[in-house]
Amino acid sequence: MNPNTKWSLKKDAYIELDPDGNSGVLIDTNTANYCSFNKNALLILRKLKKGKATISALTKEITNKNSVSLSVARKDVSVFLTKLKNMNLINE
Amino acid sequence: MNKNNEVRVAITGFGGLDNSEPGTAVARALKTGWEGKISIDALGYDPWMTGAFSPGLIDNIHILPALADGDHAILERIVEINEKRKFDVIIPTLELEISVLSRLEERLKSKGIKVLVPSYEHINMVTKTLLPYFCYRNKIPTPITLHVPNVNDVPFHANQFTYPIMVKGVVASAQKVDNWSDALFYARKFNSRWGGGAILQEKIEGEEFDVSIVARNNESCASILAMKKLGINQKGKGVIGSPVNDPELIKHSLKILKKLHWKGPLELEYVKSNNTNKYILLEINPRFPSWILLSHFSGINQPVTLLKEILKPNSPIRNVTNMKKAFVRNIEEITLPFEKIKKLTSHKSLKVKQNNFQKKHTIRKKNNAKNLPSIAISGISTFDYVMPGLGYAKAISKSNEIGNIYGLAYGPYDTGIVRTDLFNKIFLFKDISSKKILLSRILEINKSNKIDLIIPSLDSELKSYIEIQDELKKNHITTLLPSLKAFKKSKDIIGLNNHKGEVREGFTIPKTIRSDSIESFRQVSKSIGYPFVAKGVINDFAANPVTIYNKHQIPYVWEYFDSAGFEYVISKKFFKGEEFSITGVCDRDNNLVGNLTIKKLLTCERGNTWAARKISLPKLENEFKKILKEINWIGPIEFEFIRDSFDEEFKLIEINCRFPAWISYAKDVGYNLPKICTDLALSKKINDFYNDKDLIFMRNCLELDTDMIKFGKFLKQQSL
Repeated sequence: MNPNTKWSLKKDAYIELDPDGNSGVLIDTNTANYCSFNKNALLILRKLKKGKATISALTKEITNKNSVSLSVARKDVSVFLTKLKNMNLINE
Repeated sequence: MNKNNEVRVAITGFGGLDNSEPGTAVARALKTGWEGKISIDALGYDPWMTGAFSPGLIDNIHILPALADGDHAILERIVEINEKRKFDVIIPTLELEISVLSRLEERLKSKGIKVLVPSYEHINMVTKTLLPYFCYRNKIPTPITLHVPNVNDVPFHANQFTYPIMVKGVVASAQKVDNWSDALFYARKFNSRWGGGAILQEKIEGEEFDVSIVARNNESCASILAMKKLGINQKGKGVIGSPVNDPELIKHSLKILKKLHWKGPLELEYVKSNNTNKYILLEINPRFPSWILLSHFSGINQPVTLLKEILKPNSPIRNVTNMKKAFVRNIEEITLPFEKIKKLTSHKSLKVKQNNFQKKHTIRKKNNAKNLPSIAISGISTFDYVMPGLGYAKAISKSNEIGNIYGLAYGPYDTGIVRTDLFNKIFLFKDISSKKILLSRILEINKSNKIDLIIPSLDSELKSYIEIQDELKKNHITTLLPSLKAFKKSKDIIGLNNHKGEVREGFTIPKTIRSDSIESFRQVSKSIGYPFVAKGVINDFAANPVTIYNKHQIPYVWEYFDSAGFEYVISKKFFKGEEFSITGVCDRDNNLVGNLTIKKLLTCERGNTWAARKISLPKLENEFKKILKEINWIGPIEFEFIRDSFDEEFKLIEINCRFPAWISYAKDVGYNLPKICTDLALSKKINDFYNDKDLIFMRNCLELDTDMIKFGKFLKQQSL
């Protein structure tokens, strides 16, 4: 994944939070697909919602809130972005 | 429009049983979304327009002559109805009616009745037999499709495709098949219903989408709504769906609309190919789809758009406002005096007493009184067939002696999860593969939401519940279930392990033959002839029956049961005739406390009862009582009979160790068997017998709205 690529959540994707505010369900009204997400995914999704986030910025978001190494976080973020890309939920 | 500014509309298509015709949904959309006074008359071809009896929906019901009687007969009848009670607009919702009304359009207009339908030549262009030519001419991707006018040629042509393929009737009906024998069977079936042969179509795997359009009088688009089928049942019908705003799909559909020169409602059916990711056009239907209430839920009520376009053309377009909505098809069960059906049959018109039409789905109020029992009920879906848990919940939901009612669901698409009128809370059972897992989930729920009584309502789970009933009791959760021995005896009576046949007082128990191999299955016809009925059996549970008409079906049916993991197959002769059912409930001393007998007036293809009437069959009822005592039965049970049209004998064809799905009817005709069952289970005094009423039972499909988010949340949180 290109480190300079800036990612944004597509405008058809909606984040619906659970009552606890830490997790929820992501809906794509373009395709009527939906998937659930956890606390860390929410951190990334919020950043993507604001738009133009690089993989480094997203990784930093995770390492700031979790005691996890940079390499592990970067790998997890990359996997998550690939999933979102495959589901056609993010734009470059 | 009359003096009171009331718009009067006549709509067709209120039948269709579990494959609901669109008229009921169109009427509901108009009644819910029309701003102003509206009165709706239902038009149909027999008295069994079950959707037309939905409370408060329809003002008058009229029977028309058959379309085969010709345009003149139809026109004469419409004019006759219109003379007594003028209406402004007719909205046809059945394929075959559209061309008739197109031909009658000008003559109807002269009588003050408006319709918005395309010209005859444009309707003809998109019939199922001619659609491939239209697609070819206009370069629209569509599956390889072949019209076979003589159904005897179906096996040859079907074998030229790669299985599975779709077999379709030339007007409606479709079935996925895996071999030429089934293709021939369904081709014959559809041909006998619709004529014109059958259509064979390549089956393209992918997600399915429908687009509903209202085209203006000037052929432009007044409204468009694309829907993705989220839940597709075994019949291939989308029973759960949500709007989508894929620009590619909308653009493609508008391109097709331009080529069609259409006026009025239209449905385009697509599959998005897994291989090419392209939208492939499967069918064009010249009418509203039966899921049209989704347009109301999404903020662009298309039936209202159509009515506005007819009455005041070129009204402004509204865009979808709520993309997160979804529709979930459920059922509505009602009772009505039998007199009404008799009157409609003889007079051809019926004024329906206007009740208040419920625009919004109600929510079951929590009963705040202390110490009221909470009841958990399983089997709450109508996805493939109507499950009994919904009827049980309906019968007890209004009782002020019941606390919370919990629905136990097996997936997010169990349609009962949106029945907030019946259930206070829904719990998800992701896995019931063993009794240990089942027990553990119940006890987990019981910790946070106290359960006093559990009513299992599915055949496949009953044995497990019987096996864990003592464990449940230890945890103060009551059941009213038989012993495992009594359960097995009921299975022996129906011949789940071979039965040589038996004559009882008032009925016969037919012979059954067990097959443990395909070789022995091939020998069944030698003993009982064709046609016969076969069921796969696993763990004392019998699957839905398959009727076998000839030797060619045998390997495919065996393969079907074998690959689904069934242990053996049980077969019995196929009986044709009127169907009856006795249901009742026994106390813990094996005494039958209450029972009800019905004659089934309408049944759908999958065997669910769509209309029924209470009757009395004393001989059968006495024997029913005797058998239950013999086998030491406890709890609810149902015996199903067919009165064999050949020898007029009653044949016992099924024993269900639970209440039937129509059980809510029992409450309305004087025997609230679910309430009696609840009271027996909780050792309370029984007081639920009322006065006799000659009411018949009727069912229709009802689309309820929900937020798409609920499906995801239910999966995640495991409760709603």
